[in-house]
Amino acid sequence: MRGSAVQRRLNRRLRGWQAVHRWSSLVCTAFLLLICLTGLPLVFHEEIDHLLDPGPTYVVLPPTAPRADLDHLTAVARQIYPGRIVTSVFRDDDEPQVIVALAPSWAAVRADPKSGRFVRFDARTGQVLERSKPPAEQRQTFIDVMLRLHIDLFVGLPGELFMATMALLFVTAIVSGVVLYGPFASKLDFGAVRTARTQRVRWLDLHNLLGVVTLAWALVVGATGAMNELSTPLFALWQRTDVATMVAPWQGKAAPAQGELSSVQAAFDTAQSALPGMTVISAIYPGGQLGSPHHYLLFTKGKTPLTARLFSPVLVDARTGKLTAVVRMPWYLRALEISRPLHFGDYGGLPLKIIWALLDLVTIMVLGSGLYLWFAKRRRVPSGIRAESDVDIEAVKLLEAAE
Amino acid sequence: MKPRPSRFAHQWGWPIGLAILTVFGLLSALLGEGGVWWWLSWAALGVPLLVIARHALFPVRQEGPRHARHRAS
Repeated sequence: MRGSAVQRRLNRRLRGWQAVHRWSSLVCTAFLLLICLTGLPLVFHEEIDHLLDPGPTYVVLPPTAPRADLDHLTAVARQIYPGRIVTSVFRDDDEPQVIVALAPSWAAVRADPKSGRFVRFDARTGQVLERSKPPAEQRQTFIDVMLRLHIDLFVGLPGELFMATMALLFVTAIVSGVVLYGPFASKLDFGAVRTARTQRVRWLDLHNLLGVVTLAWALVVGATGAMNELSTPLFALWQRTDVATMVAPWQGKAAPAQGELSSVQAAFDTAQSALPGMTVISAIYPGGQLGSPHHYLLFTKGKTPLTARLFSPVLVDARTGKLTAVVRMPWYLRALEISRPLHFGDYGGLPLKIIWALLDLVTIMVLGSGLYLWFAKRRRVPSGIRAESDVDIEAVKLLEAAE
Repeated sequence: MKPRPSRFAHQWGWPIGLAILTVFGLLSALLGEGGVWWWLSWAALGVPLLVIARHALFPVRQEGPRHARHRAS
C-alpha cells in the first residue's frame, strides 16, 4: 500500500515535469530553430565577412613603427565629413587600423543610426583606407541580416527581451528534460537506440541521446545567450548607478562643445598611464548614451585571452584632460563579458568554431525530434479520449516507451 | 565477477562524465593561454560528438530493457 502511494506521488511529480518540458519546449522551439539556423553562419562571421570583403591591405611596416596622432586623424575625419561631430574613436589592437565614427549630432544618430558615418585609417601612416558609403549604397550584408534575426528580429530592445525569454524557456526545457531522463535511463543502457521498434521509439531514444550528451554545452550557450540579450538594460543600469555617481559633481555645468574638447590622443595616453597593463582600444566622446556629457569614456582591455574580454572603463575630463576615474565594472557586467565568448565560441581558433557548429546542428536535431515526438504522440492518441485521459497516458508514456 | 554498477552510476555516469568534459573544454580554451590548452579544449569538446556518432550511426542491438522482462506484445 505504502509503496504504491510513493509510486503515485512520483508519477504525479513526473507528470508535472513532463508538462514543464512539453510546454517550455513547444513555446520556444520555433524561435530556437531560427536562433540555431542563423547562429550557424554567425559562428563563422569573421571568415564569411573576410571572404565577401577582404578589406584593405596594409603596408608592411616594422611593429615598432610610430602610430599616427589621433587628434590629426579625427581632424581629417571632420574635414571629410564637415558639419558632423566625432562620436567615437576605435583603435584596433588586432589590425593596424583606427576607425573614427561621426554623426550630425548624438540625438540624430540615436533617432536614425543610418545618419552615422565612419572613416577608417591606417593606424601608422594615417592614410585613409575606407570611408562609409553614401546612404543610397548602404546595404545590409548577409551577416547583418542573420545577426538581427538572431538577436532582436529587427525590432530592437523588445525583440532582445523576447529572445531572452525564449532562451530562458530553452534552459527550462533542458533542466526538465534532464529530470525526465532519469527514469528513462534506468531502463536502458546509455546510448541505446532501439532501431527495431517503432519510428517514434527510435526518435525518442535519439532525442534523449543527443539531448543528454550535449546537455552542458546547450545549457551554457542558452544561459549566456539570455545574458547577452540583456546587455542593453544592464549597461543602462550601470550608467544610472556607478557612472552617474562618478559624474555627479559635473551635474548642471555646461557641457563642452566639440570645438572645446581636450585632446583625444591625450585622453588615450592618460588612460594608458592609469592602467599600464591594459590596452586602450576606444574612446566614446562626451554626450553619448554611455558615459557623461563632460567626459571621454575610454575602454581598455587586458592582454591574456580571458582579460582581453574584460574591459576596464576610464573617465577622462573632456575639458581639462585630467583623469576622473577608473570606473568599477559591476559583477553583472563582468558576467556579461564572460558570457560573450562562451556564447559565440570564438575563442579557440577555427576547430572550436567547427565544434560549435556541429553542436549547433545536434541541437537542431534535438529540437526537430522533440517536435516530431509531440506530433507523433498526438496522432497516436485519438483526440476524443485525449482530454480526459491525457494525464494517465502522459504519466506512463515515457516509462512505457522505455520498456 | 565484475560488480554491477550502481543504479545511479548506470543512469548518470555517462551524462555527468560528458558534462564535466564539456565544462573543462569550454574553460580550458578561455582560461588557458593558447597552445596545449586549445588542443585539450578541442579534444574534450570533441568527445560528446564522437559519442553521438558512435551511438547514432552504429546503434547497439538492444531490444528490451536491461533487466530481462517479458513484454506482452
